[in-house]
Amino acid sequence: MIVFSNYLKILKQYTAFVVLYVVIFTIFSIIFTIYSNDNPTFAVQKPNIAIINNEDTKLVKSFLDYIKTTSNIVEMDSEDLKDALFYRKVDLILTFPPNFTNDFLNNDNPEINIQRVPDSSRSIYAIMYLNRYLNIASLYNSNNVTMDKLIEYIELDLKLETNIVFNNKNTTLLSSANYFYNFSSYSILAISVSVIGMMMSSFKLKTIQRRNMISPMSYSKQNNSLFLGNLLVTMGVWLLFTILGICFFRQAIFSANGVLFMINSLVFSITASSMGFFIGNVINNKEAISSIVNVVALGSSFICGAFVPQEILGESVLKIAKFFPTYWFVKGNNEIVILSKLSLDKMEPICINIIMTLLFALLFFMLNKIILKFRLKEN
Amino acid sequence: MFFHIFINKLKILLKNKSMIFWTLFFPLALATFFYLAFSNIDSNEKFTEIDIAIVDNEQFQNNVDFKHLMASLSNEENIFNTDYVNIDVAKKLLEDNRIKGYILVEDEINVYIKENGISQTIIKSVIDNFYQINSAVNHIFIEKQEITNIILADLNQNYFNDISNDKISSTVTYFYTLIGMVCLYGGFFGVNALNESESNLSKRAARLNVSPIHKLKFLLISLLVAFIIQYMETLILLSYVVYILKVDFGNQILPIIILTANGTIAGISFGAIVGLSNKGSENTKTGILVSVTMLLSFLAGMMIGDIKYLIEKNIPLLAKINPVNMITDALYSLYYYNNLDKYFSNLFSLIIFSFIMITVSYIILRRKKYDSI
Repeated sequence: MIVFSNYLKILKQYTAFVVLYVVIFTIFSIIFTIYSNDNPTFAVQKPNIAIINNEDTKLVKSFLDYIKTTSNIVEMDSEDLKDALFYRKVDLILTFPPNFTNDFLNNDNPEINIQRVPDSSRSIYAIMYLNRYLNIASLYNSNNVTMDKLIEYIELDLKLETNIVFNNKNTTLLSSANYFYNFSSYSILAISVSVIGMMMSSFKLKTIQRRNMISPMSYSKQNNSLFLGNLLVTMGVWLLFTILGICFFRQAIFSANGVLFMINSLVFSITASSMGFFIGNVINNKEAISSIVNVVALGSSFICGAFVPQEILGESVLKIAKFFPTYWFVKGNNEIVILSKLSLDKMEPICINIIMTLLFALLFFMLNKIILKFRLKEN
Repeated sequence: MFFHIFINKLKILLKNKSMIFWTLFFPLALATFFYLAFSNIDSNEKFTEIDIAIVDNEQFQNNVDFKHLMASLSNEENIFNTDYVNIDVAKKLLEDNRIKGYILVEDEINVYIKENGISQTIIKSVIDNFYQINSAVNHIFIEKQEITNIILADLNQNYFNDISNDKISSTVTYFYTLIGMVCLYGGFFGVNALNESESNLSKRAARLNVSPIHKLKFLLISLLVAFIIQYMETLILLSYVVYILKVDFGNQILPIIILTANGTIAGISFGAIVGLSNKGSENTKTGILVSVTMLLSFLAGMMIGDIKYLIEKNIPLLAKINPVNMITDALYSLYYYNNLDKYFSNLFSLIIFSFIMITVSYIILRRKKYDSI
């Protein structure tokens, strides 16, 4: 008990550190939740279009009206547009030539200048429907339909729409929860590894360990107390993020998928702790531990898909990522989201990922055993 | 004397492992992670063929025009990557996320999807087009009354002329912020230099101050050594990012070298202010320095690129006084703009920032005497 209470005493020093990470994480989670606002019904995506135009003819007016219904119009001066395009606030900038209407009606190579992010899906889509308007207008024009009729007809034509059957199972909240849990891997890893690593390095300092070894308390009993302390930290960290998860995504968490999220993150917390235990045992220098934690936590989060989704990462990056537990944790979360019915064959990929994460815990546990034996002999 | 202090100071700082880690190896590691994680983001934004399925039933086979349209969109225009399957396979493909949607032709054409997105919108738009052109032809028929009189113009003409700037990668600014962050990490050495020369901050400084060497001379040499080490580290990071990771910094090397030198001075002078701000230990001050630099880097868009834009548009003053943002913005303007106006205005702000920091430090430092410490 004396070892355990001492553990708790040292643990108190790290409260501020944990609070800092939790605050940073909470801020990021809020940003993520605000960003991911998907609709439960089908909604047409509207590209953001900026227009630079000086003409005021019937044709241009009708064309601009069409753009207004199909797109979000961005109004800025041209210098600001350049920055807006870089930051993807505008998908397409249209600059009408001075005599567009005349050129168009005479079929004299009418061209609107565009600026966009080259080949972006949103700009390609916008060009598609803008060309459509002009092509239909040109069809009427070459058949000598008058301007008024042309505008009247084209408005009728473009109102026709396809029937969409939208089978959304309301996965929006789940995918936000997915982001949340993927991102939490960074905080869980950083907190568990640093706190447990620092704790272990305090106890395993050569002079302190030698002093402890001559105490009447058996070596295994001391280690068990330390283990208990680490377990407490692990459960604490897991509980913290589960509570945060419930605060943000109550509905998603209280479902079959939510329970799987919790199980997955519990397994990951255990793995993170065993990693901290290992690092603390190998390295006794506290400054070195904080450097390693930063590199390992940030690095694995970046390449394993905690920050940038796995489907966007390159194949070679993912190959390296497989050597980190975060990869399997994140992959597990991604599988949990697409799980719609609880059936055995659908559960298989999730179980495999959870088992892989657990194997890492086992690996660190074994390495620890070997190192502790080695250390004992050395002392 | 100068060389004696200079060489020893250099040795002491270079042997400080944790400082060298934070100012050199940590940024190098971050740059590598950025590179690994972001290498595919730009190509992800680009349009790729959309996977769809068409239910190959009798109605689809009978609708010759639509069949032709889909064939041309799949084979010639490369908009769709189409599978012709039966209804059960189509449903399964959609459920397993293998396709974005499937098309079922019954009395009318139906599109089945399960998510919102640009791909789904494009599928809908293409089929809308089919209806809309049919409707237009009908209208012309009403006008002309006779089918043989209809002139069928080219319906795939392109009316747009692309004059875009190709250099518009959304991930380069992350690396620019990183350079800004590293310049500010020069503050580590600034804090150290002050701690080692101000008698009320460390015992070594107190001892040094009773030695017959001029304090200002010692401080200036310390700052010079700090500048040399930090600037070398910045250049190492810069070369790594430019030549090994191949991140595009534009083609203007001289302005970048001048900018980073000024950035380093700004960082060291900022560290000096932090060093003088309180009587805490060097660790506390380094902690303050790291958190402030992280916050400034966050505001300059290191974690979320959009933040820089949001702040510039909504709280422009905050963007103007943030040294990490000045460096990021100057590098961004060298990459994206054709003129140097924005670069010079940022460089000028950076010089003013350093000047203020140095002046304030000097005012705090001068003519200090202690009866006891």
